[in-house]
Amino acid sequence: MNPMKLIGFLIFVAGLTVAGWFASYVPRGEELVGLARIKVWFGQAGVWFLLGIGAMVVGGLLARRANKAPAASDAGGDKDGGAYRGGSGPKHVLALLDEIASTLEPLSASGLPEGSKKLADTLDALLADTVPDFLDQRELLIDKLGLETFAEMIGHFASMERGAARAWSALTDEVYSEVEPSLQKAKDGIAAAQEIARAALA
Amino acid sequence: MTDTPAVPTDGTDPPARPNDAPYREITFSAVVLGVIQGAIMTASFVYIGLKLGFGLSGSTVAAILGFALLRGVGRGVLKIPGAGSIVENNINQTIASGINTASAGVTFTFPALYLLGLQDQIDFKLAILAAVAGSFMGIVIIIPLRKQMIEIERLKFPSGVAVATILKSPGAGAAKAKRLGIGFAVAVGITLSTTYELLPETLEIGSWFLEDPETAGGWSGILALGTSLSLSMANFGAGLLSGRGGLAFAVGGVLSWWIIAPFIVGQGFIAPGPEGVLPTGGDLWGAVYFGSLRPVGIGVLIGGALAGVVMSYPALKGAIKSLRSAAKLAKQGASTDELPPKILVFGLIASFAALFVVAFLGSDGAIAMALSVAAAGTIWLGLAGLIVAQATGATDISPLSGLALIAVTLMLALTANNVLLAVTIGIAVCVATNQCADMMSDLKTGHLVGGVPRKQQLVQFGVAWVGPAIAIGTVALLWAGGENGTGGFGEGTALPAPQAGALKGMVEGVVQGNAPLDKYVAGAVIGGSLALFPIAGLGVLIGLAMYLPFEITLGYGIGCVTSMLLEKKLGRRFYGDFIVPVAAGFIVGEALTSLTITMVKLAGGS
Repeated sequence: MNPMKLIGFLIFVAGLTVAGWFASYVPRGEELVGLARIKVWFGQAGVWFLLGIGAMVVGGLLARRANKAPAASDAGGDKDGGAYRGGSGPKHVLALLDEIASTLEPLSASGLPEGSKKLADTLDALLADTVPDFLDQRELLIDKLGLETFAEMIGHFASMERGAARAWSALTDEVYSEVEPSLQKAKDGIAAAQEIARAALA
Repeated sequence: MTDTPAVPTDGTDPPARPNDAPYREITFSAVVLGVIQGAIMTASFVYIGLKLGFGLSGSTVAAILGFALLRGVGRGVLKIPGAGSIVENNINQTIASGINTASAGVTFTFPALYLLGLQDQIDFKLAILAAVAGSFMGIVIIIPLRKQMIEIERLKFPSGVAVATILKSPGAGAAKAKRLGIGFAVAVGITLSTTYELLPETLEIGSWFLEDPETAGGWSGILALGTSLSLSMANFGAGLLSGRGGLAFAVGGVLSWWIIAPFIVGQGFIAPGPEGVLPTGGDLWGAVYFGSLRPVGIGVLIGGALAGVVMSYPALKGAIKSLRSAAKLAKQGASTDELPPKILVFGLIASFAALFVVAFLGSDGAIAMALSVAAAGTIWLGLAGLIVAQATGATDISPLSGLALIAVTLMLALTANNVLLAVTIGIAVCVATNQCADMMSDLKTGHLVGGVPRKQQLVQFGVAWVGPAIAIGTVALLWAGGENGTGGFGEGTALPAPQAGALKGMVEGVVQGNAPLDKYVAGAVIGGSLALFPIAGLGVLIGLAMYLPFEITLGYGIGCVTSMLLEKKLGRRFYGDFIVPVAAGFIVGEALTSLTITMVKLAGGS
């Protein structure tokens, strides 16, 4: 965590604590019904409550500002003996998308049912390892692409995930006719996601 | 997986050739089985809700029965090629659990009208219309929220993951199936042990350090009294599945019970007892929880959700833009996974119209009031949907009763204390929010098994009217089951209807002007400010932590931390291969054991 974010976080938590204390204050007085209850509570606890809220606003804005700085991935290396995946930055994101695309590209249903186990294992590894690695870069992507473009890109990425998952399910169900269209959907999804990401990150 | 079906030479029927069949997804058998399961669960769970005060989700039960009936009977006995596929079963459990959402939605609200003595004034057509409108609205709201929560924010939806693990179990390999079985067995053992009092349901950890918990007071007293740990394995499992994503919820619990609660007791901020002395023991806990933390938590939930909408507006805009792009592609003949955004617009208008009709007829034709009720009801439905989607996505917990409470409070204010109308609109909100929570979880399951969201949403639309009608009919029947055809539930009967009783108490409090509005307002301001920190959904998570007792957040938090440590030490693969199946086993094991025990108890009349 960078120092500005840490300071922002500490101010934010302090503010939240103070605001929480005074929000919980039960007002004293007679006939505390309806809106009068809010008025009396504010009169007795409002100043401290607003101080807490003020600290939350300052801390939150500091943390937000710190977040605008280049996001660094805190993902650790793969402990299963696979490739080290601790990188970050636009090039790393594009490389992960390329890796997913190149994993999907040669996959085909033509050799089924003989190769079904191998195909299912490949899809399983893709969904369990590479996809989460890419999703670790979410903050960086939002920062670089903006939320709206990120939403569009991740929609295509999710379509790829569903396609790959559907191909896996069809393999498990031994309905091999469904595997090819599902793989194609996954390939189309990753291609569309790559296009958007490249345009924004290149 | 290398079977090549051969023609048998012994005169028996040739085996089915599933690899030649189309992939079964929306099928007659999946829909019929889903509707039958959903209808039975709705009627049963209304009864359970009136008896015990909690709702049950039907997803896991439906998924397992789906395997037995669609796959076992369909493929094994009826020789239907490819029957009981993973995505077909996903459709079956989506329908069954979707219908069943009405059981909790109706049970938490509608019976309050009877308990308030308004049974002769109930208009069943309006009540059903409100519930059906809520049921449809819940699905409509999900159209953009699915993209927001599942694709953009990547929330975990632990129950959705657990059901997906069950659905995928035939192809997941023996090792994962074994881990699922181990988790299941542990959860069964612990649930049975707590039910039959071999183990306590909650470890009162703090009280171990007190000489006499009933006389404990002051800041140290509440610190000890508030520190407890639920032995729910489903709760722990949800934390395991959520990992780092759920940590804010656990931190919110620590903040509420270890920092806020001791301070407000130490400073005398809570309501004094009848003689002006601060309460002790259980009364102290109740004063802190019900008098301060819970109402502030409800406010934080609302403020956090409202601010969340503002902060994530670009993402929502992006989600709707991508829905529009998909709709355009569909017009050009391409297949799409998405429902078009015009259904969202149409659904919102239809929901507004339905609520307007309910309010207009329920207020004897007061147009201005009906318009304001319909507008506020529709907006609140959307906001409440967002809250439950975020809450269940991160923690698997839905603050249903708190949201119904706010809906009824709001409606009482708008209708000048027209209790009948306010509770009727409350039914719509409660059904809609439960529908949102369930639908999001089912869509997460679909995402993980390769289901098509559009198909899941379409079947859910097709059956959304079923649950409300059954649930309301069941409540009416149970009421009529009392002596002389009345008084079948409520205090002093075999069906105490605790949630509806709480709503009744709240309605009476609001009518007398006793609602803790200051807590709601202060909480909403905190919730709004929480959205400034760059963690998505922080307001809803902290609000939910304040809204719940610490025993739940602590158990969940231990699950989160355990998951994070294991993943850090053993790698991501370990999370998928080990933590997910074990945690899914915990969730499914506890759900099924609790359901079985409840059914057995009810059948035995205890």
